Amino acid sequence: MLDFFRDGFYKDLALLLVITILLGAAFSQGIAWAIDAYFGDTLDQMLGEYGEYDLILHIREEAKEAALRELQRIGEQSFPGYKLNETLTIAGQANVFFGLPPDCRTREVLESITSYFGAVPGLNGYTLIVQPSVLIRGVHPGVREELRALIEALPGVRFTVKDGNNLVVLADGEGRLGQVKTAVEQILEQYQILELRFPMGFEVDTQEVGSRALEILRARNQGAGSRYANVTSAQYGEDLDVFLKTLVEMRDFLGSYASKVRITPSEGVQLAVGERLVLEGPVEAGQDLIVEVTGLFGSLAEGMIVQGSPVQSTDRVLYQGFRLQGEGERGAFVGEVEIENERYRLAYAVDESLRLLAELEELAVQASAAVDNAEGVLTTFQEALLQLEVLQVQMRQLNEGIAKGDAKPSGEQFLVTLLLNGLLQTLAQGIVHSGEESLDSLENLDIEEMRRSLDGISKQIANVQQIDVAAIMEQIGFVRDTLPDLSDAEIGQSIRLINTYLGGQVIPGERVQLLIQGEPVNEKELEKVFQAELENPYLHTYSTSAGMVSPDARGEIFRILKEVRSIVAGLLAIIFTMIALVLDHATIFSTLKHLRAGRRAAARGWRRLVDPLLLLGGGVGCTLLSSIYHLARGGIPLVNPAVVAVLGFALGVLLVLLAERFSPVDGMELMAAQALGLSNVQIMREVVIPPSRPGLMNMLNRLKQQF
Amino acid sequence: MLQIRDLYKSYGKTTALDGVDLHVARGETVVIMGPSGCGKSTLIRCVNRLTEPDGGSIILGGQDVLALQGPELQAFRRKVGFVFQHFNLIARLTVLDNVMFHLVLAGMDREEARARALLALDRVGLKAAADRRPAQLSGGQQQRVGIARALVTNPEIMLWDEPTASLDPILVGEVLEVMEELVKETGTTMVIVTHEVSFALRAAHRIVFMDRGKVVEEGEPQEVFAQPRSEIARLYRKLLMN
Ligand SMILES: Nc1ncnc2c1ncn2[C@@H]1O[C@H](COP(=O)(O)OP(=O)(O)O)[C@@H](O)[C@H]1O
Ligand SMILES: [Mg+2]
Repeated sequence: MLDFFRDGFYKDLALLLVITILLGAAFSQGIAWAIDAYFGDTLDQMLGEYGEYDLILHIREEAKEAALRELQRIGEQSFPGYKLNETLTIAGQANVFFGLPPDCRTREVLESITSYFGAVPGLNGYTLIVQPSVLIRGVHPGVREELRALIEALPGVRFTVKDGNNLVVLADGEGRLGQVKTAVEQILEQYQILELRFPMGFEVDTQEVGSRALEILRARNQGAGSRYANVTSAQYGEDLDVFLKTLVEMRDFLGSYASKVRITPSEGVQLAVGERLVLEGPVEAGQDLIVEVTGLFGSLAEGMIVQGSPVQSTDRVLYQGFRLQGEGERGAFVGEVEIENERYRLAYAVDESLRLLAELEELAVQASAAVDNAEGVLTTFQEALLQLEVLQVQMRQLNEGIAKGDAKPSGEQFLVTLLLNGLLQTLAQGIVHSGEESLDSLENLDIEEMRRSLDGISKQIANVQQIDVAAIMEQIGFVRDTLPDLSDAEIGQSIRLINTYLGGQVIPGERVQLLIQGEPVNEKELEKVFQAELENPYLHTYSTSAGMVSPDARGEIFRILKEVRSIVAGLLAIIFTMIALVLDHATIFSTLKHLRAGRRAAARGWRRLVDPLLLLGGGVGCTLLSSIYHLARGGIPLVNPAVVAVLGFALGVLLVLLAERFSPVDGMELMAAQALGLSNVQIMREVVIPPSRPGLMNMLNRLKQQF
Repeated sequence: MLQIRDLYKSYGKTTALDGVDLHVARGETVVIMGPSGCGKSTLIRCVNRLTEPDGGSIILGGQDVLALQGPELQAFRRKVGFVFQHFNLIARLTVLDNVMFHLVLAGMDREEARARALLALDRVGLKAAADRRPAQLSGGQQQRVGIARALVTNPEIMLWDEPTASLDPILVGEVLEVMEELVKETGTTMVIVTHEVSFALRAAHRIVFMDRGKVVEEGEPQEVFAQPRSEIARLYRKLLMN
């Protein structure tokens, strides 16, 4: 069968195969690459290129410009060759990517980010994205140094960087990442942190309990070669302590904010903490007002509203208290209940101060106007005095003239003089009550002094006016609006919730942490042992790892992208192979099948399996697919080279079986060509291929075709 | 010229040739007749190895045909003109190209091949149709192109496999005319499979009757029709009478 190719067509076929493979690889990889590039670019815009940047600095948006300037300065000063890029600003936070020059990517630098960048304005923190690296989260401080030493001794590891509770393991290259990750995981697997937790309120000497627990562990596990150590760390529980303190503060705040409930039980009535009373009296519309007794102080009791709202009043309001029985049933009268609505008082006080402020502003305006007025009056007064003096002089002269008889005053003049004298006297009397010489005393008034004091008042008023009352009011209004809009019932609920939380076993008190290296232990089994041996039935044991290798999100995304790229390339390789088989090779195989039919009877049964034509088809399919898949760097999960080869072979066999359907040959033309003495290669080039499907073979053939 | 001895061919369980002996002298025109399916086509296809016989021997011009391989076989085929029942023209080529392309592929200069092809077309009266495509021609014209294609190599022997069998009756005449002319003027050795009894009577030197893969009777046309010995020959005589 293969002798058909002997007279030259094998060259065409070989060329076709090579070109098909190259083209297929280029096509598959090209498209996959395009997809990769598209998504990669988008990602790069968001994350910087893989390994391009080493840290993301999170900076408050408003400080961004200043921060960038400072970062440039730091970069030029400490890290020549640095890279800086500001990317997404999310929720008021700008993310600035900073790339260190390669020689600065050292443990020392990466562990001192804060000392280098601490002064950057608006810095809210940073994230290390140094690559290629493996990230271990939640590394227990008690094992950190030990782990570091072990990990840094691993092949492929450059160094490790402590980043808070995380440990970043830098690999020599991206290619070694997988190997490093596996090795790190293997190391971490050898470690276990066993935690003994005591409930709140237990004073535990962690050192003592720790060493006793270690003894117990050692005794139980003799000769197993495991190592035990007390690694109890205060630092480890710090966050929790802060949280607990905050919770207590919160509870107290809520408590002071709730309405005060004072109960005065009637004669002979015994109340108990936790008991509930229904109140009768002025109530906001809605539910019954129900209080719960929270404390007993001699003959008095304190309570907390658990349902309903008291009437809004700044005064104490009196209610009649009845026992609550079952489902809202009102029982016997137990006494008077006094409620002070603190929240309403606060709101009321705020409202009042708001009103006061508004009035103050008004007042200042009015006062300022009054001072201006007074000054006007003063000026007029001073002018009047001056005129009076002039008048006085004139009158004196007139009087003197009259007395001497120099000038005979007219009747008019005399009259005027008389009138003025009277007037002046009256005026003077109005200011000082000193009878005669009144004008002099008037003149003695210190107008300048009066003016100065008026000035003083005016300045003070101006000061008052300068106070931005509007701003104060706005702020107070804001405070008022943000006062928790909680009902008494809600406050009661929250307090009870916090109390159960604090009082219960949810939050542990003291803890002892033990490091176990080697044989892992079963913490539930040990719990009973410790409870018995340490004589504390409340202690619990928990087991945690010494650190978790966590997928670095960024690396993960890139890995997935690579995987997608490989899958796409792989699928395209398969598709391309199928197309090439159908368009090109179907023609060849249907020709071969046709020629063979004229020679001898077709093989039947099992012989079909070793049919050289099927083997040839399988070989071609296998060669094409394997080569294209490999060159296109295809990578479909679970599809290894053997599977690819088998798939290619199967496609080839299928093609041979269906060849005539894909590409029928004109048997008559073929026979004529044979009869005319054409060689096989000529038959293919001139008769079979030209009218075949327009594939690669058809195209390549045009170069050789003579007719 | 051609000696076929004890030729066997079977397709699976069907025996197409069951020990055929046939001798054809140089310049002789032999007509083969026989019912459909008796192995006529198989026989003449074996002569130029379009079909591989299972046994027997074929000697043509002193060459052991069944021993030929590759280029030798191709060179041999170029000396054998073959005319098909269904013309078997290359649909995508023009009439001229159909007649010359194998010359060029065999190494002849294009111009010479063209000249010879036009000459051959002229002989079959189709020079004017040189630039047409087979599909644009009538069946008779197509078969004449087929004849020109076989002629153009100046073959030592021409094999005809029912050249008129797939033609409309009114077109048969033009083809038979060309055939008769060729037989008379070229003196080329011819083996013609046909049912055209009157043509056989006029043109053949000898008629060979076949039945079920065997040669059942042979002789000069006048003789075999005058005194048919086989069932088949009698049948053909009846055809001639009508
Ligand atoms: N390619 C083939 N495959 C199988 N059987 C064939 C093939 N060609 C011919 N035959 C069978 O061989 C016998 C002879 O056929 P053929 O030589 O074409 O007869 P004829 O030309 O005389 O009509 C017939 O029975 C035919 O069915
Ligand atoms: Mg036939």
